[in-house]
Amino acid sequence: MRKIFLLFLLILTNMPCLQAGEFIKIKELLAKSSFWDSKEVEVKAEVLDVLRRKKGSWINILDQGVSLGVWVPKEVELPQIIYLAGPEERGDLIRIRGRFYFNNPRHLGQTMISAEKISLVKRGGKFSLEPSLKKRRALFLWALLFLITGTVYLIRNLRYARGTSKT
Amino acid sequence: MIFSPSKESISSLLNLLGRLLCFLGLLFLVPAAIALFLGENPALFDFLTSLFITETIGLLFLLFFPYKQDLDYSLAFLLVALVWLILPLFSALPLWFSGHFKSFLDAFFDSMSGFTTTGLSLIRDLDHLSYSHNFFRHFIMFLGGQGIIIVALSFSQKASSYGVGLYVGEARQERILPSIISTSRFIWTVTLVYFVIGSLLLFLLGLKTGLPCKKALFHGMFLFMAGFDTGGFTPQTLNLSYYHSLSLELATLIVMLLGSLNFNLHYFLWRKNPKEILKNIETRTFFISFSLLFIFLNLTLALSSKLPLLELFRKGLYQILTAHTGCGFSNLTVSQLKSWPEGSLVFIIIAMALGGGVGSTTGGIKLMRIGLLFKSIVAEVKTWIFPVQVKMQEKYHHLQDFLLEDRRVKLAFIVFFFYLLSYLGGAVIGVLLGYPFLPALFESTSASANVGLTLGITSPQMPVLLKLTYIIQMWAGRLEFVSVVASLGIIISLFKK
Repeated sequence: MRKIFLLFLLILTNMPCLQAGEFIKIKELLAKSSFWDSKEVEVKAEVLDVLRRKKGSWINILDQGVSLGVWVPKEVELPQIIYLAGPEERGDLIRIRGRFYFNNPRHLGQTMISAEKISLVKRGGKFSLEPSLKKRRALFLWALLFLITGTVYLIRNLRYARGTSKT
Repeated sequence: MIFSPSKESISSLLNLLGRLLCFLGLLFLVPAAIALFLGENPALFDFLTSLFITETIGLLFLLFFPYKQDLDYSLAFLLVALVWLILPLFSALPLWFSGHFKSFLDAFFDSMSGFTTTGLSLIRDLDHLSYSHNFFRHFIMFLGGQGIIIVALSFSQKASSYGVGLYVGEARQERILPSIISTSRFIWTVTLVYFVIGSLLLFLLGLKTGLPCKKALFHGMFLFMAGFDTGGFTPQTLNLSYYHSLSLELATLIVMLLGSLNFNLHYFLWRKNPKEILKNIETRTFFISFSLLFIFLNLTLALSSKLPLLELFRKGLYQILTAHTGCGFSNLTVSQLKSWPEGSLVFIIIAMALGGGVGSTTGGIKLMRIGLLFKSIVAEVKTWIFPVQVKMQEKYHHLQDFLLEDRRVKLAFIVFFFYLLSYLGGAVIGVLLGYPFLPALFESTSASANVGLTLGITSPQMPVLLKLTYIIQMWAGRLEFVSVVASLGIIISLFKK
């Protein structure tokens, strides 16, 4: 009886799907893909792109440097996405509930999530595109060194050219 | 007798290195202009700082090491080997400044991977990288694929006596036109024409997949540069799966196939006789090796996978072609590739090891050498079968008919041997560092043959020793070991002097 109880406890603490209220990381989905294959999952991630197609949209999402494609059929309501993750923007953070497929034969055998519900968690925003003080200083210093070296090189070449023209 | 270079020739060598550094510095202006145009100010500062650093060091080389005499043939090899080490080192600067790398070594790894058209990457958070930095990653791949020396020679007005040494040292055995400069310019003309057509096609397909206009334009350029130069960098972490598009996958297949063709064949295709493609030993070798590997790969996949046949065909075709051409694009995630049976991974390793055409942008042993070795085996077997009195001379066709000479077979075998040594050597180091043999061999072959496919070993977390091993493999593999071995000989002679 004790063994059964311990086994039950072990399964309960190790099965990520039973950890209530937590989103699954994309990294975790890919690392344990055979476990999660064809199962209902819920993820929270940044939107990379929305690629609109005839029968729905592909949303590429990013979570801790790992990305994944999400198929959103036309029937599923898509919240308004304003910011897309990229060099200038932090993408809108969305919550996706759907089924994870390791090799989905209906979609070119891709690893993906087929979305059932999508909602906006947090609006993204613009990054500051101002160079840091460190970068400004480094540029100034090296520009100065370049000017000095360049001037020395030019003077030496001019002298050499004069020397050869005299001879 | 051991050849030992004089002080004058070493000074000239360093002077030329300085000139090439100054040339590289000017190339930073291209991504800097893009950063300026797109208003990516931090990136602009990165490129300008790198430009000033590179120019300053280049000028110091010019100041301290005057050009005293022309280089001889063997020193040209040393120059090539040094250029291919030092230019990636300086090109790592803007990548390092971007803040997307864990260490300078990681940035150097990516820079070497770019120049050698490998495509393995240690970058973090690629999806937030600026367009100009992303452009720069693909730009160095483009330059490296064409050959840094080819780039420099295209700009030079007169041929130097050591020009041939530089050209050969950069793993190009064949001239297309009588002079090296005209050959270099022809290679660039071909590439630029394909660049315009290919980028436009990929841009339109990008729009069709649903990408916004700006992104489609840049991604079109990036995919072309990485595809034609069989590099394999992609602008997003999802690789080709980012686009969820079969037509884009097919377009990249065509681009990488064109890149894997010998530039001589492009010349025949354009100006002389397109039928050459059907007769050439390289294209025939490719057809045979590709067909066999494709059949075997699909058989192993079909026996172990539940996927529909059409899906298996698509995935198998893409993986074998991307491995054989040395491109390294992938329509699979790393987890999907890892889930493939070991037998199918062996066929991908073989495809990577073989490589594409001589005088193309690919890496690996190369089709010409494989063809020659195969023909020599056939010739040898024939001598066993037929009577001693029967004298046979094996022939092969590459632009014209050639007799199969022992000298050519010997050269092919030497390079074959070096590649084999490199593939296995890298795998042994991987195993010693705790990785299983097959993934270690996969990654080592990918680095040495400049392919870029990965089973997940290549990551910022991998041991420093393995990073250094792959850097050396990428470098030596790109130069086909010739310049590296010759340079080692020269360096040893300097110590023996």
